[in-house]
Amino acid sequence: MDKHKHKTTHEGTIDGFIEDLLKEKKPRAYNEPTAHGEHVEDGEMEKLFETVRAVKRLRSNKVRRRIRQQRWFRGVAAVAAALLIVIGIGIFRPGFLPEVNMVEAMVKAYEELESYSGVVEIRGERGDVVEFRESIHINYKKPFKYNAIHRYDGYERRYQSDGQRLAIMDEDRVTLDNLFPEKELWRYHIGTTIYELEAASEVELLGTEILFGREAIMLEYRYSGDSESHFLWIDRATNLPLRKVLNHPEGTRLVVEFQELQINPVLGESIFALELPPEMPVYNLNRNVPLEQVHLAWPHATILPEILPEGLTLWQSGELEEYHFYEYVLRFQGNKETDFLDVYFASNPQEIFYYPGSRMGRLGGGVVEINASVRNIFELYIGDSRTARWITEEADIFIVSSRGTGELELLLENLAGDQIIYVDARELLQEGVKPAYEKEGH
Amino acid sequence: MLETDSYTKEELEGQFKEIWPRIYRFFYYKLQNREEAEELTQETFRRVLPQLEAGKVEKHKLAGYTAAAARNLLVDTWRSRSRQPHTTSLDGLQEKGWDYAQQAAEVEENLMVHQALKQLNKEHRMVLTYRILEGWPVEDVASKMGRSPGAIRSLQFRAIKALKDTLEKGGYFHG
Repeated sequence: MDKHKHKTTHEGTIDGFIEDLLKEKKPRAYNEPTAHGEHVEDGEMEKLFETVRAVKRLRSNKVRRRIRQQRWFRGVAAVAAALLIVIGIGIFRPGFLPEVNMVEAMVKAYEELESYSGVVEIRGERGDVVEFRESIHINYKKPFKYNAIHRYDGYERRYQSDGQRLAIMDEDRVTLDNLFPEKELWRYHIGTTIYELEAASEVELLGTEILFGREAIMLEYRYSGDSESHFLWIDRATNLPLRKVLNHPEGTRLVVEFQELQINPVLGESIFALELPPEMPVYNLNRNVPLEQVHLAWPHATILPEILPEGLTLWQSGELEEYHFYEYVLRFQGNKETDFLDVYFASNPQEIFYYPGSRMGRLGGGVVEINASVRNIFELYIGDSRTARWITEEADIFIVSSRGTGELELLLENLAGDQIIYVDARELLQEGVKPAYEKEGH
Repeated sequence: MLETDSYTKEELEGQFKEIWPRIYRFFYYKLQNREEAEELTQETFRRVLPQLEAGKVEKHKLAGYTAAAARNLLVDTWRSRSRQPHTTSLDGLQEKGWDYAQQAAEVEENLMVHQALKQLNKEHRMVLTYRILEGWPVEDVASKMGRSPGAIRSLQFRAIKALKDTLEKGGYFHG
């Protein structure tokens, strides 16, 4: 036998096997003879197949969790099949199975995207009734540079961010947030939509349909503990969202449609420059201040750059509004939009309440609280974030981050020069540390 | 219609709901393929059903009996493919120990594969990561790695073979 030809045949067999595995189809390699008329029923080839399977098993925990969830759903569907066997009707044949790597493809597509332009329509619906409708013309450039013109009920409002500050322009005034330029994005930013999907505990592919003249993949997803599931349509050509439907337990739904989307248009920096209308009153929210000013209030913060988790750099340092629980914030950012670590500081600790589900401990003469999943903190960090808080008699330090709680624990320990000793939260009751009341949306 | 000495139809439905996902998960883990896993799960229940109808399976032993049937079916399938099966902890697949044994086997296997992947050269590791872990089509991998699709198929074959050799030296296929 021609050795080269044989090798080529095996290459094709392995490639076909990989392809079938990725598509969750029964491997053709077991049914079809090779180009030489031989079946692949030899031990050596089977070991190569098993090696391919072994690599596929290594997909990230997140993906595997989804797979398990989907397996469960398939399992439930399959129970119906079993019952059909039982009652003697026959064997149920399930239809096409979901692509488990769809979410990763979307995340990758968004990570490779630099900018986009388009029209986003947001509708609040109850049954057949549209309760409100808003359209947004948006130009977006990473990270957090955007201008968005919102129109609803004959009213127009413009949001403009240069990546550092956000100006909200109404007809008669401008509100300028100097520290949190991203805060209005969560409702309609396509990046947010993708990261929402990534955070879902269950994702299932429902099929395909034509939407806005484009072939779209339809997914159903659900967050852990939620009763309602949501829907997302993804453009098959770009792997970016076209529509999402968020269902509320009270029977309403929020529909967000991404129309006329242009991927990576050339958007000059001038588009995002903050040029405030002259003679218009400007209301400032929060203040960007030099790092030295934060150090004056919180001298120990000078060691933060040395003890921060890797890959983060200082993005913003600021003083918060008087009504805010904290006085200062230092904002650190990683390479991705979603990689962040914000450190809040207050010099006047108040009564201590902790979030449900927190782990409580002692650290450096104070109390520490670690939580892997706190929702909608300050109504600013929409969705789930990790938090770490350290309260002593002199200071209250609160960290909100996308990083793992292990990194946050280490950061606090390095800050305190001490190790956290976890305790039963009931031990802390006598010291005035109480569970917070359940809050709406928490 | 089904009539058995041991089960009512409702009882059997409840039992199947409980057991089916675990059997399916077992096959899926082993085969990494939904069509095959579904087929073998169905076949397992098809084999168990006559025993139930004959009243040969005691109620409290149904889960263990079905697990054993799944194990035997997998071994039969592998034998039919002239394969030396990689049967880590299959004996542990009893009623209560099913999930635990399965998880322990997964951790052990994945650690071994992870270590073996680390020993590959950069290109081999890269092609397996793009192609299998991330699931990109050959054409996209070719574009990412600056090669032709044909070269990628050759590279992935060599990478799989190198990984198989490393795993084999570590005793993976005799676990």
